Formats: sequence, C-alpha cells, structure tokens
Amino acid sequence: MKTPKKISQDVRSGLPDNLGSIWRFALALSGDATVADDLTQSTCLRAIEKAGQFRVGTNLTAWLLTICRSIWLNQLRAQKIRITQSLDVTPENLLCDMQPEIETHIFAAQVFSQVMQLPEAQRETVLLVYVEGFGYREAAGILDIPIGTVMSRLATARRKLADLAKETSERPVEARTR
Amino acid sequence: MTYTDDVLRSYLAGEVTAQQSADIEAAVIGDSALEARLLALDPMADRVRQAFAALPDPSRLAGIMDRAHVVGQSAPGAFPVFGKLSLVAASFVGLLVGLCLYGWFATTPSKAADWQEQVAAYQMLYVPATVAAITPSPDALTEQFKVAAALIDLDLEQGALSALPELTLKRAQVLGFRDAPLVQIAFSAPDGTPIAFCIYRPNDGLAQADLQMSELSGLRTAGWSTQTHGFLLIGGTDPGPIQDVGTHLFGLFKT
Repeated sequence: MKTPKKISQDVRSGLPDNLGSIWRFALALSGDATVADDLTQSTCLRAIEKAGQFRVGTNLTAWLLTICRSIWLNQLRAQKIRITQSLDVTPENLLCDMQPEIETHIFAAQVFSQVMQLPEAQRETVLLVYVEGFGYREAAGILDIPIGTVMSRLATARRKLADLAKETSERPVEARTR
Repeated sequence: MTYTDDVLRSYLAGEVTAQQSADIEAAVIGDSALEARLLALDPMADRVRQAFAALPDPSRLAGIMDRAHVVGQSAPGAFPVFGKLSLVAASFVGLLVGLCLYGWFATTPSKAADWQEQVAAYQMLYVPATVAAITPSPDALTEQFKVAAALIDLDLEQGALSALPELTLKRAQVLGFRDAPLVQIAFSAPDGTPIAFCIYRPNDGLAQADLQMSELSGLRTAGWSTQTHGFLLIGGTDPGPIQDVGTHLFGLFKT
C-alpha cells in the first residue's frame, strides 16, 4: 500500500504529462487561451496541495480535470462573465497559431472554430469524449452529470458540427482560404 | 436489445426517432460494450481530435510552468485575474510575473509546511525542455539579477554563478511565498537536468543552519540558512552534483 508521501509524489510526477489535457479542457471551459493558461497553472498547484486526496488506482487525468472544472466554476467563471459580460468565444484569436497552410489545416481550423462556438456545456463534453478520449461514463463523472446528459449533449454538438461540415464542403477552397 | 452497427451509425447521425435515441441512451447506462461500440463508430471523434491536435503549443506549456504569483507589489486581490498580465509584466523588465494566482493565494492559504516544500513542488514541474528553451541575452540576465538582488536584499554573485563549471546559468526570477520574496535562479546541468538555486527572505527572519544535504519530492537538495535568508539548491536525483555545487554556494552565501 502506498504511503501518502508516495501518492503525493506520484501526483506531482504525473503533472507534466497531463498539462496538455488540462490546458485543452481549460480552453474548452473558458473559451479563452489566456484564461486557460491561468486555469492550468492553478489546477497544478491545487493538485499538488490536494495530492493526498488522490485515490490510488483511479484515473489521474480525470482527477485533474475535475479539479480544473471545480476551480473554473467556483472561482473564475463568474469573474470572466463579469469582465467580458459573456462567455462568447473569439476563436480567431486562437487560430493564429495553427497556420492553415494546407487544406487539412484549413479544415482543422474550421472544425476547431466551430467547436469553440458551441455552448460551454457542449464544448466541455465534446472535448472530454472526442479529444481526450474519455467514455461517456467517465465524462459524466468528471462533469458530475448523468450519462444520458453526456450523450444528448454530444448528439446536439454532432448536429451542429455536421451542419458546418456540410456548409464547408459546399464552398470552394478559394473561399475558405480568404 | 442488440443494436446493429447500422442502427448505431444512424443514431450518431441523428437519423433515428426521438424514442429510438432515448432507448439507445438508456441502454448504454448498463452496457459498457454498447458504449464502446458507439465511441468507436462516432465519425465526429477523429475530426475533432485532429482539430485540437496542434494545441497547445509546447512553448505555451513551458510558459505556464514558469508563472508564479508576484510578491508584495500590491495589496492582495488588487489585481483582477484577467487582462492585466501583459500590462504588469511589461513593467518589470526581465522579470517573469504571473498574477493569476495572487488573489487565490491570498484567499486560500497554502497548507505546505514551509518554503522549501513549495520550491520542491514547483521544481517538480520543470523538465529539461523548460530550461533548454531559456536563452536570455547577457543584458537581460544582468537586469534579472539586478531586480532580484534588490528585492531579496542580497548580492546574488552573478559572476560566480555564471562561472559554475557544472551548471549553465539560465535565468533569475522573483517569486514569492507568504508575502516575502523568493528568488529562483535556474540552471541546466550538462545532461539537461533542470537545477534551481532558491533564496528566500522571510519577513521575520530565520534560525541559522549549516549546510545540509537532503531530498524533497524525490529531488536532491542542499540547504542552509543565515539569520535573514534561506538557501536551497534543488534538482535531479543524483546527489553528487548537488553536493559539489551546494558546498561551493554555501561558501559564497553562508554569511
């Protein structure tokens, strides 16, 4: 059986490998890359502080994302709404790093943009299941919602994303690159 | 009930009735295999995953690990969490400043035992790539030392630290712990291992202590303190370099 000190060390040493997942989830929650930076860092520090509460044998990534969401909901979400008056996303700001030089990148940027324009609840669910690879059950645990809600959120998101894909495919490439 | 792949694909495409959707969603609750099939058949998963594949940029993550809360420049909570980062950072040339945690630390006190535990926790997030990417100009490095020395009220011996044969000097930055300055001087070992020499000046002084080799969070350390400053060299798992460099630094900073 692991000692609390060993568990704490395991959590700390697992953080670097999970930074990308935390950041992407933080982005999905906040819709803002700068806020995602802040949220990621605070998640790491909170995880270190609470490392003794991690249950051995459970999924570290899921535990970290639960912390991330808790910080977002309890500390930052209201602040962001107060400052920006909304949780609307401006994906153009985030896309500049993606450098859509070839067709596949253009398409990826368009899908990314559309995902980021989904409502927060759908965005976080899509991120967990499609990007981070969690099952419906695991995503439901992280989001603290019924599994049926996860599936219905995904169904709605799929409809919206499919509409976009259809619109995109009907437009000529030249128009998409402008 | 068993669902064929065609039915599941129709569900994923939104081409079934509301009742069929509800039936499938109810069935998934008690059927992990059905859940796995749906996940595997979902055509949207690959598309979305590829859209996020380039995010985040690795340099962005390195930057996140570098951020910390600023010390004593304002009352707790005086800075909004968002939107001020670039403005404040610009006012401290060469000084890495992160404001995001300042208010949180003020309202949620850390339960860590002491400053060395916090340093170790922070150092644990460093990987070779973190310090490899740091390449300040000589002028920038000098400015960093100047700012850090002023805040910690100590000559940081930039010349001696630049000339350590075992380590490459990378950066000096000011962090903080319990409203007191904490300077972190980052080095890279020949094999890329990140090493940090940290100096803390608590407001209420310290008990003097001689050089002591130890381990924190799995990292080797060499620590000592004067009546005004605490010192900790930390990094890697090999005790040899930390002992050698620690002994040298103890000679420089023991009074």
